[in-house]
Amino acid sequence: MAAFTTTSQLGLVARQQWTSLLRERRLRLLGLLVLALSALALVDAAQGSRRAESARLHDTHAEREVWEAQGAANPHGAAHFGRYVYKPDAPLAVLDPGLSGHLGRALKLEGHQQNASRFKATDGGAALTGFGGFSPAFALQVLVPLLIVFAAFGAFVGERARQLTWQEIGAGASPWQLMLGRASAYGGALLLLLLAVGALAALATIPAWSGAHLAALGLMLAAYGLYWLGFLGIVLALSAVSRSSRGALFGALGFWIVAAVLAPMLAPALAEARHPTPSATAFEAAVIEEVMKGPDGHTPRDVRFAAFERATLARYGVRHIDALPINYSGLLFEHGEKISSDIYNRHFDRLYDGHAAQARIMLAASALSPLMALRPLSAALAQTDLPAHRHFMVQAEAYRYATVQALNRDIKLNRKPGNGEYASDVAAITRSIGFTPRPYALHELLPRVAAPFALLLAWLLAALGLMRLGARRLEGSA
Amino acid sequence: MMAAIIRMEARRLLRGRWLPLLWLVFFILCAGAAWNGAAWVEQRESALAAIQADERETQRLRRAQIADEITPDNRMRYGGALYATAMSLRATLAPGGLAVLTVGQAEGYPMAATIHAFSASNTIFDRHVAGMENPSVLAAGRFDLAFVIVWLLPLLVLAGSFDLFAHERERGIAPWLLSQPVSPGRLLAAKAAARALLLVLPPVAILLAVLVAGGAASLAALSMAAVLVALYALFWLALALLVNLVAGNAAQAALGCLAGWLLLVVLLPALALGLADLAAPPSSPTERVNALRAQAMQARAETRAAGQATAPRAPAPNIPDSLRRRALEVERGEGLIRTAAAPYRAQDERRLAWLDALRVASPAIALQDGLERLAGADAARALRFQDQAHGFLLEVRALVGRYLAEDRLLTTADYDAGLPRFVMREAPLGERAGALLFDAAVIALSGAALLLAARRRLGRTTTFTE
Repeated sequence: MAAFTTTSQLGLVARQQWTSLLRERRLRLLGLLVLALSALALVDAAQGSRRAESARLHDTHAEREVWEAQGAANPHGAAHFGRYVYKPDAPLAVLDPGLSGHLGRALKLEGHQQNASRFKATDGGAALTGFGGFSPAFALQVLVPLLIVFAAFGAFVGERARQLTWQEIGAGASPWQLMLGRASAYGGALLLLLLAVGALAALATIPAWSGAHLAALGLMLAAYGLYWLGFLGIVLALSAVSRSSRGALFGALGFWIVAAVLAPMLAPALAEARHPTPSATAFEAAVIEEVMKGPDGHTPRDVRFAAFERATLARYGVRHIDALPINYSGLLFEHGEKISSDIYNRHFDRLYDGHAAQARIMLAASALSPLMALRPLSAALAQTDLPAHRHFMVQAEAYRYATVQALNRDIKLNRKPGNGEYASDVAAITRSIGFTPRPYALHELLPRVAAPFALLLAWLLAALGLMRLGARRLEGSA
Repeated sequence: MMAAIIRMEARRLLRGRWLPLLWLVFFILCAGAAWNGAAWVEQRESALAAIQADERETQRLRRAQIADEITPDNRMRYGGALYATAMSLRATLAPGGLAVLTVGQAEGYPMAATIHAFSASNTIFDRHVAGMENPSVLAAGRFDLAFVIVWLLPLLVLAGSFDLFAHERERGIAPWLLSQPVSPGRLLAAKAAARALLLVLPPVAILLAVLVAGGAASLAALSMAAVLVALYALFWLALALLVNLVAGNAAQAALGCLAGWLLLVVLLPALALGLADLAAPPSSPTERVNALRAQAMQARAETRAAGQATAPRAPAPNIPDSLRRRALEVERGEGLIRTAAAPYRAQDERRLAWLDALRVASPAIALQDGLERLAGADAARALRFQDQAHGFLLEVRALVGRYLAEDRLLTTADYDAGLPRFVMREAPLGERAGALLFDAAVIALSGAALLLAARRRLGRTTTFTE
């Protein structure tokens, strides 16, 4: 019976707050504005994604034609001429583009060298582009919390809200019920917004529909829900403990500025200062130094190549490279490619380890801001984060290595000594080597999103704790 | 009377403990951002130094090959160093004078070019376009002085002036104040002037101090930075004044100020960028690369077809004719590339013109643009570098062409006399000053428009009793 009374009182408070929310014209407008902006950004992103996919197919076709237009060419020259591969857009990038703008859309694959991806969306800009565009993720991560601040800072402060609170307490509701009731009303409004965004995102990604896709979308929405509820709890607690509406507004706005503006900007800078990674020039110089001096740093390339030549002659039982049944240059290219690829792989592993260390610091900054937990989680599920990019790069490297070594093998097996310029049909040599990048499966993503999910839950629990404290304060002031 | 009000208002503001705290926070943010900016400049300079060291080392090795290693016996294998095509040169773009101000566009454009006479002109920047920075760091945006000024300085000014008059209205003392022998306009002007003294001048002074401590020496650049930042801070003060004439209480005024900040710093730039994307989308670099590579293939095919008729010369020249055929292929390719690249270049120029024009959309964009120009990290400078690096490539090609025509080999004397060097020529002063004045005008006119709106509002509301 007591439980029934408690539940019905809670429902009463929630209904009352809900009605009051609906009557607030400014809030209705703000909510609709945020929803409209998110919808607009989603539609725009969906169209952009369709355009990007059709451009990718066109570029892939044009690139193949260019490669085949070489006709009979020196295979080693062709390896230097190189090929391009293009990164497909992840379907959920329409909801959260994550780092897409900074990752590069294409990768040049060539002999002796592993390149970073190029043609970032942020290249070639002007002052205006530095401000960044508008994405649904920006609306959901930054604007919705601001909407929560505007909507909920006055839940318990200000003349009207205080009078209402006292009347409700006088009618038998406990401050904790009032707190939960208001949270339920605001939470209901946020749930509607979340459902609307989820439905729009699902519609925008119809071609990608599958169980895993919808599950990833569901997890993303759940994460946003946790984030918003945490934010709401903190704003309500601040409202309950503040003496004036101005104090509640400033407290909530201050939290928003720290959580949504400052922490996301300062944490990466701090992480980079704590775990600096080499510039592109320093990276390339380190790789070249290792190529020239050997992995031990003391064996110059000439010495290693001379040893390789001796070993090869011994293996084939001949005295001069001209007597080999294979072309020695081709064999040397093959051997050199293996060595330089190993060196590149090692240096890239080190670089990505540095980036991972930076990511850990950024995640640790979620102690200050729940957004620092939400961002990596959302981008991971959308497959627009750095690990997803690396996954693509690793597959592209396997393709590069297979292509270059096929060209080297052709020289090794087919070029005759003293042949002068050697040419072969490079398109025919590489035709059987295909590149179809595979995105991460959902189960491969889950371990990576577990920690951020736990952190968001921790924020929600902390917010509930603060709400509890706020309710006690309300009780004291009543 | 005005002076008395200003003094009184300033005293009142100074009595509040929050003002020194705001200055301190701003100072800490500026110092942190300047330290960050200086670290970036140091990293960029060391990357450029490494590129130049690479150029010197390559030339040293080539010279050593000519002097000590090439013999008539091994010339067939190692003789490449003797040909002028072995010249390996670099063009670099040094950071600008006030580079500590902002990273700006420096990471979106190549910082160097590798010049080999026979490289296709569209590939000379390839080694210097892709960075290895953590994209999460890039996506967050650099925490530099421009960020502190463009994004956070408005919050400081608004925090100190959001209740410029709303406070009096909220407390009901506005009618009493206006019954004194001073016009509403003068009263508000005096209150705004006091805030200008305490919220505009100290941040400008802090910024200048930080820049000077960071090594900035150009008085002209420092003065221009001070003018731009002061105008920008005054713009936000004007916004606070207008909001105070509309809002009935301090909370409404705070909301209005924040909404203004959100609109001008976040939403309008995003909308302006959307408009630019719609009106002048960027060209597709992937499509361009394929088009240019196809032209290179065409040039190769044409040259091969033409070269098949040529018989070997006797006696053989110092420089093999294959290099002369390659020179012809490169020249033919350059013409084809120029034609094929023209529409992409035109599209990019059109986009940049739009992006440039859209800085009128918000004073925040205009200020960012001004600071990037002062830092030498603007798009115009980066493109100027690209044009000059391309010009340098053509100069080197012409030089190599002379060596080929004269059948002249490279010697150690050529290295000792010094190979061609790239020297960046900055834009004329008038051109740079014009762009900066335009930015200053955008901010000043936006502020003037707000003041005009405030004056009109004041004309309609004289009692402030509602």
